[in-house]
Order: sequence, then C-alpha cells, then structure tokens
Amino acid sequence: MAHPTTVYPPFLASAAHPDRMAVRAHLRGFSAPPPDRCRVLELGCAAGWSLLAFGSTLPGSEFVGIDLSEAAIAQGQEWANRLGISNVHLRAGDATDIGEADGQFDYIFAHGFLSWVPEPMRVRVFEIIRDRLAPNGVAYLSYNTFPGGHLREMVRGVMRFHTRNFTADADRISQARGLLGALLEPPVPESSYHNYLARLAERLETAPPEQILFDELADENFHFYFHEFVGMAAHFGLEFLAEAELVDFTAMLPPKARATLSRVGDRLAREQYLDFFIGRAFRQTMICRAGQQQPAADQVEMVRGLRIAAPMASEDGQRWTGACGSSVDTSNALAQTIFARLGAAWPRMLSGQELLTAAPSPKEVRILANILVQCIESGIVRAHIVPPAAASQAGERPRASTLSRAQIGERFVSSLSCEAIELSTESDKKLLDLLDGSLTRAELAERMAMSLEELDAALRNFVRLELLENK
Amino acid sequence: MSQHTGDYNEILYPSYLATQCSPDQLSAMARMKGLETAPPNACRMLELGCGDGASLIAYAYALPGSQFVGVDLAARPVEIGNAKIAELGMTKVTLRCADVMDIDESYGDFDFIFAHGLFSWVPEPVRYRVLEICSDRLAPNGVAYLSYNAYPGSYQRDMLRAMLQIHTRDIADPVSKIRQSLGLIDFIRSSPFRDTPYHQFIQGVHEHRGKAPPEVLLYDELGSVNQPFFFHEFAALAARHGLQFVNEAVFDQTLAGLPPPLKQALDSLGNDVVTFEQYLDFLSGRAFRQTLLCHQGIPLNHRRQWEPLTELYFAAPVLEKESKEGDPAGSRRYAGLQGRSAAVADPAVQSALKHLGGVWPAIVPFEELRTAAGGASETLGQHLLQLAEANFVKVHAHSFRLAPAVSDKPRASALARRQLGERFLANLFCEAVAVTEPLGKLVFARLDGTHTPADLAAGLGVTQEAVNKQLKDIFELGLLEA
Repeated sequence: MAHPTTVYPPFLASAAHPDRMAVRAHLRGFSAPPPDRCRVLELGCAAGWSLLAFGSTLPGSEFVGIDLSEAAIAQGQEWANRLGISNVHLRAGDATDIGEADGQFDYIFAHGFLSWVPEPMRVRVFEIIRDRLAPNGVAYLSYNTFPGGHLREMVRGVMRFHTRNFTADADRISQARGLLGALLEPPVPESSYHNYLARLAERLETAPPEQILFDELADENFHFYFHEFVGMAAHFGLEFLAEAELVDFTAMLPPKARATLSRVGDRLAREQYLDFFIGRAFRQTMICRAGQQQPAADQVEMVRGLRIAAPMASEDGQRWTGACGSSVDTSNALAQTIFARLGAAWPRMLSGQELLTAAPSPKEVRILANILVQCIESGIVRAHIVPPAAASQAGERPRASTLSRAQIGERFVSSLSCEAIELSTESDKKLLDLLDGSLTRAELAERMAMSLEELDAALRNFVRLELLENK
Repeated sequence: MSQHTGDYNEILYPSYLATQCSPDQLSAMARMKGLETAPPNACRMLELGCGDGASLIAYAYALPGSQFVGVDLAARPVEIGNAKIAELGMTKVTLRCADVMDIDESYGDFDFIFAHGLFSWVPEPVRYRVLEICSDRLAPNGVAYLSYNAYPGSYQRDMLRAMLQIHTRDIADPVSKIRQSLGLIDFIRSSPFRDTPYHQFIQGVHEHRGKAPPEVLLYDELGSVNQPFFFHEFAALAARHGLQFVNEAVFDQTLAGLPPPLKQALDSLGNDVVTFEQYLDFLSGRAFRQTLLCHQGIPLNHRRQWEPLTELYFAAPVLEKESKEGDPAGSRRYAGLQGRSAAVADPAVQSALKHLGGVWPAIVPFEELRTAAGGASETLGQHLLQLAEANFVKVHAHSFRLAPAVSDKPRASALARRQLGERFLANLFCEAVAVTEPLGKLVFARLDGTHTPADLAAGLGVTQEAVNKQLKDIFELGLLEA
C-alpha cells in the first residue's frame, strides 16, 4: 500500500521478470506461458518502474499495474505516454478492484506489498492469484520473514515510540535518523542489538532517505515464517515453486549442517530450516497452482529448452567464477570445457541444445545437464527462454533503449534484461544520452572528447551491462 | 494455567534464590528514591509463584523478625518447601498451594510483594490479577517487585522462542524437547556467517545456556506464554492499577557509561521518569527488567543521588591490586565484588575501602565508613554511588548479623547445612553461594557450634591448618553465625 504522502522510492523488481519466472518454472518441470506473449499483473506498482522496463523490452506482452497512490500512477502514466510504451496500463485504485473484467494473467506479482498491507488485503492478494492466474501461470510475492524479521521489529518498536508525536514524513525521517545516530554514539557496546543498529545505519547511508518510512516506521509490517506463508498459499490452492533470488544457500553450508539439513525429508521444511540457519528477514517467493510441478523431470530436456550465457572465468581450471560474482568448483573435464566456451562467448548466448552436443555419451549429457541446472539455480550461469535484445558488440552506430536514456537523471537506468544500473560517472551519463543510434563511433568519440580506444572501453562496459540494443 | 502446573509438577523449575528480591534489597533500592519502607527485619512479605520457597526460606532464616507467605499453583514444589520449613522448625514462613486468582483480604496487607519470573509467563487475566494484588494487598508505603521480559531486547528472545517452538511442536516428551532445542541452537551456531547480529545473538544464547540448567529453557523459551513489554507499556499497566515506578531492583550501569551529549539529551526529559527509563532501554537494548512499584501519590526523588546512601549499609571483599596503565596518578586499584575492579584516587575513599575489605563479610553503616574516611560525606557518597552502580560494592538496607570472626566453636547457618548437596547454599545475607572443596564440605557439615577446629581436624584426620583454611573460606562466604 502506498504511503499517504510520500511516494515509494523507484525500484525495479528484476526478479519478477516474466522470463526469469518462466525459467524457474521450466527448471521445476513445467512450462509457464511464453514471456514474449503473456499478460502480467502487478499489485502495488507505484509509478510502474518495473512494468515500464518489462513492457519496453517485451512489446508482445501486456502489462497491467494497480496502485492506491494517484500521484504515483499519474507519474508512471506520464512516462508511458512520453516514451510511447503502449502495452503498459497503469491505474489508480484498490487491489480489491481487480476482478473478472480484468481477465486472466499469466504472471502476477507484488513486490514490497504483502507485508505492508492489513490482513484483509493480504488475503485478497492470494484470492486474486487464485482467481486470476492462468492454469500454468506463476506468481511472485516478496515479504518480510521471521526469524530475521524479529530484529527488524525490534528497531521498528524503538523508532515508532520515538516518532509517535510527529506526523510529517520529513520530521519522522529526521527524528528516526537522529535517534539511530544517538544510539550509536561511541562507545558502542558490543551486542547483537548494537550490531544490528550499526548495520542498519550503514544500509541507510546509501538508501533513499524515505526508505525508512516503509520499513522501520511503517504502520503495518507483517512477517511470515516461511511455513506460514506456504500454509496460507496452500489454503488458496497454491504451492511453493522456488525462490526468485538466485542464490544457493545450501551450497554455502558447512558439511555437517548440510548433512543435518539433508536428513530433513520435506523440501518445504528444508527451506524453513535454511531460514533459521541464515536468519533470513526477506523472501521473494514464486508460487503456482498446486500440482503443476514435476521435480523429477528430465534435466537434459530442461537445458535443451534454454539459452545460456555466463562470464565464466577461472585461474586454475577448477574454480569458476560466473555471473553475480558467485563461483563453482568442478573437476569434471567436460564441464570445464563448457565453462570455457561460455566465458569466450560472453555476453553472447549459446543454446543449451548446442552445449550438450559436446558430451560424447548419454551419461555424460546427463551429468553436464545436471551441472548446468545447478549453476543456473545458484545464479552462476544465466538462462533465458526469451533472451534480452541486448547487443553482444557495440556496432558502428550503438543505440541504447529509449527508456534507459530517459532515466538518466533518475536513481538508476533499466538495462535490457531489466536490471537496475546505477551510472556512477557523469561521462557514462553523457555517453548514454548520445546513444540514440544516429551517431557513429567516430562522431561519439569526438562529442565525448575521447580517443576511440577510450570510447570502445566505455561501450564494452555498456555491452556488459546490457544497455545496448542488438538491432 | 492448568497446562502450566502440569509442566511445573513434572519437571521442576530449578530452585532459585532471588537475592535481589529480599526485603533488604527491595528496601535499599526503594530508599535510593526516597521511599521509606518498612524495616526489613520487621515486615510482612508475599511472594507470588514461590516454587519451592527457596527465596522465602532464606529470607525468613536471615530476617527472623519478619513474616513470609508464598503462593504457588504447583503442588509438588510447595510440598517440598513446606517439608524443609517443618524440618528446620521455622514458624514465620508459610507456603500455600493456591491460585493467585484466589488471593483475597484474608491474606492481610504486605510491606513487600514480589513475583519473579511470573509476569511475562502467565496469561493476561493472571497478569491483571497480579497487578491488582500488588495494588490491593500492598501496605501504604509498601514495595512491589515484578520481573518481566522487556522490549526492545526481547524481540530477539521472541525470535529464538518461535524457532524452538516450530522445531519442537511435534515432540511431547519434555526431555527430548530440551535436547532438540539445544540441537537447533547448535545447528544455527555452525553457520560460517559469524558476525551477523542474528548469529551473534544465537551465540550469546548458547553461552548463557552454558551457565543455566537446561530445564530453564523449557520454561523460559518453550512455555506457552511469554509476553514481553516495552517499559512504557508496563508503566501504563501499573498506572491503571494505581501503581508508580520506583526503581529497578539492581543498579543500572547504562547511565554511568553514557557519552555526555546523550546524558544531556536524556536530562532534557525532565521529570518524565517513564520516558527516561524507556530511552535507557533503547540505549542498552534491554531484554529483561526487575521493576519496583509503589502506590501512586508517594513523592519520590528520581534524580541520581548519593544522599540516601547515608542511611544504608555496605559490604565488599575489597583487596588492593596492581595499578593498570592509564590509572590516574596517586590512585590505587581495588578488586571488589565478582572480580569488578576500580581505580580510586581520593585518599579518604581509599581508607574507607581498605576498612570495608578488612571487615568483610561484615555489613557496615555509612557512618562507619565515613569515620574510616576521616569525615568527608559527599566525596565518600559520590564514590560509593559509582561503586554501587558498577556492582563493586553491595548496598544493604539491613545489617545482617554474622560472626565477626571464626570463633572457638564455629556455627554455620542451619539452613545452609540442610542445603548441602543441593544446587546452592543460602548465606546469611540471602545470596546463593557454594562450598566446593571436598574437605570444605566435610568441615561445613559439622559446624553445629559444638566442635573446635582441633576437634574437627582430629575427627577428619587432617591437620588443623587445613581445617582453618576451610573455615576462613566458609566465614568469607557469609555462612557463619554470630
């Protein structure tokens, strides 16, 4: 729910991108609707930052967003009109207004919503997913979780008492920040409480100042234990599909803890204990209709259906670092060869089908497919069903998306794979602004007062960030 | 509640001596805020949730002029306690198996009422009843003590509790529940992410657990009710029952350690003691409170002040130590209670501390220390306040009578001799102590006032020197009677 006076700071829910959800569903053995020809609904879309990014990169799909804040919706609509993004429809209203007239959606998501609305609205969110989700559709909900959330609740209790006599948002923000500073006045005692406060202060340094209104000062901030969340989903005929965040925490466990966890037979219980182990405070969970998943599905078939890319690099041939800076160890010679191929091709996509042909026997095909699936699930290797239309080379007349160029003055620009990119230098901002596809490299170098080598380096960086269009 | 007694009868809550709740301590801490309580040795005291009466029996033994009544819903601990009372021939302490809901005027009025480890662990109607009793049964200048879990710190306990409950929800057997709970804590501790606040807390729980009996876990974290309060919420509840905040039961060090700008900010809160205390909790992240209450309308002085100390008594096993680097010039460093140490530069205060160490375990009035210091009340008072806040010196409202030295025929507390073999012995000023050496235990068991050290040495077949060493330790534990 939007805060009455302050608009939620811009945010890009990359993890809710239809293609990313489709890939996760694919890896759980079911085929979600095609991301480039689908209908998507976002509940609590604010100014539509996510939908505008998705809509501009998936022109064959249709996107509907709803938010209570008229100011936010007006802002988003203005962007859509100005940029000619016609497949994104934003409307001001209560999520309870979503009904049969809105039809069926292949993907439904709500980011930063479920924990911040009152109980009846939480129930309504699940009802909407039950009633409006296509049979093979996927929904994404992010929410605050216990056990980590108890620590957040602790600070919220303190902050809300301290700001109880203030009503203006600006006063509440400055009071809360002032108290945090006072509580961390040296000498700071050595305790988990003070450690948490110190980390919060660190986080707030780089976050938009209004962020604190939606977390530590929120009227409503509901936390679920994971088992409660899946219990609620089950009540509406929905079940856990996967986490949208591409991190494999199980792989990080020490051997003894991993062995303990593997004795927990039930997948959902394992997820719960994983939360206990890491003290998780936030989840981005994908759910689908009960009975859709076939976890025992053939991994070879899965890999064949995907387009794959990763900046794989290794010094010793054993430990390979890929996307997100995560790494994997392998002694499998075939995997090493495949990783090297991916690294050489990056950022070009290779087809899973083509990669598997390198394996000489059906057995080795299966082993290789298994390794690739694991790497995809932990975010080391990126996989797509509909790859982003990003260039693998800058080309003679490089062109960036209209949306990203319009966002230069904002907190971030959207890449073609819908990641939020923060441009750190004025030079990058100026260059991006010039990339409307009309200027040659030589003209660009001149305008930027750069050598061609310097320009190429800057453009290579843009290619890596997937900011340049491929046609 | 019935579910509760079931638990408490099956696995007994470990016997616990609440030193901080004795009439002596409640009176001392109330007097620090200007409340004139009844004399500790001529009072009536009520304990709610007394268990086996370990606290009340120790108080009754040390304060024979006072009367003590304990109430608990669980029958077995009450029976155990009453059997001990009968065996010791004590007449001024009674334990009753009763529901706090049934306490009425027939119980009379009390100068002190306390409930330790009860308030947060009972359902809401019982909590209201406890506050009603504190209001209805408390004498006009009486003091009530309630301990409870406090926010913000207890959000972390909520976290632990919820996880343990999820983990053990299908286990009925209490012993397996405890074992499984400890297993989960170990599982989380094995994380490679050691420095997160979450893992720091779990590690702290583990270290704390190491000191406490495992069955405490069953009640503190696995019980069906565990309701923490922000201090301001607790104070509002008390106010609705006509009660006001007096003090905490133990000195708080938070204030003394604050940087000056924060001290000034807190001082600007003026007379709003509830808000002041609430911010102290925010600063320290407090998870537990032991709060003293009295009737509204009694004028209290909430300023941090040394003056009330002039009416109180002091004890500390002071020993001079080597100075530390950075100690002020001319200062001497002393060890006090529980290994606390302090550097003191004022020569008059040094003399007073030397005197206090010389007479330990005796409890001496302010006047005696002032004489030893050569007459400077304010300097001495200011220093004693700091030392009390740092738990270096113990403040009493009553001068318990102890043997001034090991006598010809030393006699130990009959209560403590009866407790030999249990988890702790109650000394003569109501602290839990232990005689650990095998010879010490043998000597202690025989200290009925009829044996000389030579008899003891001969009877035990050891040298008199060995016996004297044990007697000195026993004496210093505050176990020998005058």
